[in-house]
Amino acid sequence: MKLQDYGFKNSQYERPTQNWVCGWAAEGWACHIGPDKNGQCLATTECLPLKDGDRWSCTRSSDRKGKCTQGPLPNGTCSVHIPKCQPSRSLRAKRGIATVWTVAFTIGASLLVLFGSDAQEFFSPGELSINHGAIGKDCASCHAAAHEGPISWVASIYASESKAKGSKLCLSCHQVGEQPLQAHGRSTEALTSITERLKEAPFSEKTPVLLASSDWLPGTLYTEGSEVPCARCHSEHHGRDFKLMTMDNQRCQTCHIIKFSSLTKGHPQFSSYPTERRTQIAFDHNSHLAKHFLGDFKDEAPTTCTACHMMDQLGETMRVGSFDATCAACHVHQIEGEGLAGARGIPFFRLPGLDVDVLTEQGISVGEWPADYNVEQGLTPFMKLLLYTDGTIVDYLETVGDFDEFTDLSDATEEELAAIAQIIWAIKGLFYDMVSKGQEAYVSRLSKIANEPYSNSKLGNLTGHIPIEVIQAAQQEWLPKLSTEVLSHRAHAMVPMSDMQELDLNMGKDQDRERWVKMGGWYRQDADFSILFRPTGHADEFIRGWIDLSPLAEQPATSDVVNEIFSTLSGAKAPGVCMKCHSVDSRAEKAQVKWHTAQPVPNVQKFTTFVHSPHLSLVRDRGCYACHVLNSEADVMAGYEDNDPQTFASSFNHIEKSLCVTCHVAEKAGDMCISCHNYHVGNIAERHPNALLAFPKALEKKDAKVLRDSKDGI
Amino acid sequence: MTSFASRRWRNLVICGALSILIVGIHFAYSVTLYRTVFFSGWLLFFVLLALASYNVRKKLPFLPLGTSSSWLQFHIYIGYLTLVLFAIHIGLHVPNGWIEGTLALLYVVVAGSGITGIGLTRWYSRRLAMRGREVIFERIPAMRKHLREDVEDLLVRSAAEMGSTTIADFSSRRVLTNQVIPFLEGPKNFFWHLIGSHRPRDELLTKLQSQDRYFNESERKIAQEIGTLILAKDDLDYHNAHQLVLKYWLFIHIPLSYSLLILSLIHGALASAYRESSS
Repeated sequence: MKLQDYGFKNSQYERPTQNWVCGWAAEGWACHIGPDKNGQCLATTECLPLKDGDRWSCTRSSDRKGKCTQGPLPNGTCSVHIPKCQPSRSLRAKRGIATVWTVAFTIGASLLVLFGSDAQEFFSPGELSINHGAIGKDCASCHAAAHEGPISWVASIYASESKAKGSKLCLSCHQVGEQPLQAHGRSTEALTSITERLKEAPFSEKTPVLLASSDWLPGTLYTEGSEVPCARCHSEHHGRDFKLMTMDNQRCQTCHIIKFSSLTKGHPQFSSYPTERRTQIAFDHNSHLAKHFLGDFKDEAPTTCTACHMMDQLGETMRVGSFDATCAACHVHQIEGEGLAGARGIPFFRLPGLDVDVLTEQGISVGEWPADYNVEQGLTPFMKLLLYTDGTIVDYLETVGDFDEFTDLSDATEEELAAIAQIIWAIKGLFYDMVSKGQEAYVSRLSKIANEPYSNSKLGNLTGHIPIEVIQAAQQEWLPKLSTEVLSHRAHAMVPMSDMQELDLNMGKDQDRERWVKMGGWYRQDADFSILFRPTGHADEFIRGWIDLSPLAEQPATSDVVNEIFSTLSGAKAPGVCMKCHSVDSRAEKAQVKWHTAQPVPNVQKFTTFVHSPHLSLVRDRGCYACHVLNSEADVMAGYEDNDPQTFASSFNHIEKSLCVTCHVAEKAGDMCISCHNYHVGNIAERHPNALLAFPKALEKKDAKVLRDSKDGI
Repeated sequence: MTSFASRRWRNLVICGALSILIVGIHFAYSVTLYRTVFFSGWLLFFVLLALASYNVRKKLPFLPLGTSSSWLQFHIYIGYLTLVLFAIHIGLHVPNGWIEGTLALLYVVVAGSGITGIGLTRWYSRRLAMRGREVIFERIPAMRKHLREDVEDLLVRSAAEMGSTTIADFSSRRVLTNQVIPFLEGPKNFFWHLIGSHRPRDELLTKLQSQDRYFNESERKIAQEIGTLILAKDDLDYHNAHQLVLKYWLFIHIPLSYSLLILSLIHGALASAYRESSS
């Protein structure tokens, strides 16, 4: 059945793109005029009659059934009126309106959300991880943009990356080193240096295609000085269970000049791992295992590695046990000076031997002085330091520089004799101060060589807590007129020369005195008019305090003397023989004596990390030797001949990468970079709350009054 | 002239190549510290913008911007490309933020309606070609009126020519008044037509045919003519239903496309403003 005709004479021309259609269209008889663009019905009559001569004729088109039967009215108007309609919108117009309303709704709802009170809840792209869960919905805690408005947000589309803007907010809670946003927390210079070194390093592996292609993409390369915002690696808003520390191997290599596929393929071989430097305590595993533990010390020798090396509480590192637990059995007697010839004490103060006759001949008086005392011993370095701090003695010591001791002054010039007299008076002055002021005499002098005040503890160690009775007893025996003479000399009065012919000293008691302080302490020795300190054993605080003073000396004028003290205490035959085991590290800003075995520094992360505990079950019967293979040819002790910890030979071969790869492949134990490497290296201390002290309210007024009174000087 | 099949293959190959390129760039970015969501996100936004420009193009037919057919091809295949981009952008995870969730839902609805629209266009055009005659959608009311008038003419003619009112009486009492005339008055059986069922039409015709025993020969002929007109009306309804669907899916696709663009811009601005913070 034919339903419609086509052609301008047979059917009406449809205009579906117009906004309005005739209201009668739905009834099936739309008029041919149609509504205007505003939806107003324009219908009038079926046609506009045409005047032909004196007659009007109908002009209705053929598609509307042609001329009507009635024809036009006599006045020329059409006789067939089209009833008015209510035009309706076309389908297209309705779709347009639906679009407008939808857009309006979207914009309106968006504005409500953007400026509404719960805006942050709508902005959030997802829940925070459990680590940041306490932040809740406070976007401003982490996002600088939360303080800005929508206009800034739109502007940020075109702006360059805001980089560290938000990261600084991260750093308000997280401490990740001094240069937290630099790659690995390293300075630009350090990174450049590493880059230059690696550029020239031999590397034969072909860079994986994906990693190589990523270099060509814009926005991926990090140049010198580029900062790495926190969010580049730690992505949030992925739900409570999301692991913020997740990082895949390829992304780790973004900035690296050498890129490779995996630990197995491409990762550089280990060259010295795990030993980066010599051990802080000089210890040769080879000589101990091959010689000492098989010889005289067989009974005391340990039988397992864990006798000396114990795992820390976290299971990460193997620590060396204490001296008492590991070394004392064999070495304690050496430290206590067993079998050592000569005095076991360290001469701290001494009356130097003096050629009193020459001084007397020259009419130079130094007051009383032990007669016939010709022991060729000069000033102890401790005395020199204490006298140096007086300031006045420096020139005199330089003047008599050719004289190590003063027992033969026959060749001395007048100037030198005068200087020696001044030195003797300075010694007597020091002795007098020690007698009259006790430890204060040391403290006031020692304090002058430090830029910062020493702590009481340190000063106590340096004085050795010397009892004043020992000094006073020595003074009364050696120089009974000391007080009178020193006071007269200081008052510029003439002090007559006087020998001590009747000095009644009991030299035989010297050995008793030394024995009486077997467990350490002060004693005097009349044979050479000296006051000595006998060390208390291992970790003696007096020796340690003075040895530490050497690297700490900050005044060039005293450095020679301090170094002389260091030489005295660090010699191979020195009491305590500290330096036999404790190395000196001059690599640091200040040279340091390594008193302890290596200890993990709290909050300091190294680039490479290893946790022992999960690996112990794998070593089975081979124990530690499964990984740590002795290098019997290593000359370990040669590494301690200088103070550079980097020139060394380890007792063990370095660990081969192939050993790790046995398990650490993707399909077994995994080969993630972050399994062994830390990105954040250096001081990663936790932020601590810095809240001011809060006083109970009841006390506030009282405290305020105390403060006010103290300010007013009451 | 390019055949439909070869054009489809060409476009699919181009679309596939672009998808591979985008996925490749995405993976290359993913091994860097660059945040890949910005690459896929902004690319998706601009592609959506390009897709939306098709509607603008249709409003500017006087400009020499290529044929509408070419634009449609571009719209369809670049539309497919957005599926890849969207999948990359959301990382095949369901977004859990309000804006992100709404945006994802909008995209799914817009893309879904678009794909549905293409499918319907292909499917329904075949169905329409297989039944009835080609009709212009806007003329369907007029045709429906024409068919109704034809039935009324037949009824009048039967009474006038045969002096019998059997059909009219019968019809006015039962089938005609309650079934045929209402059937002719407006579009009927929309969903039956969409599922391709003839059941309502067949029921009506069966009812009409069941009255044959009461008619004489002439009346039976008229009844058959009415049946023919019912079939024509049913075909008209079939076309009406299908053409309505072909036009109304755009009521979802186009308005929500603009919503999608607006929300995308807001999302992009927020993501850019908050990008280097801890999120």
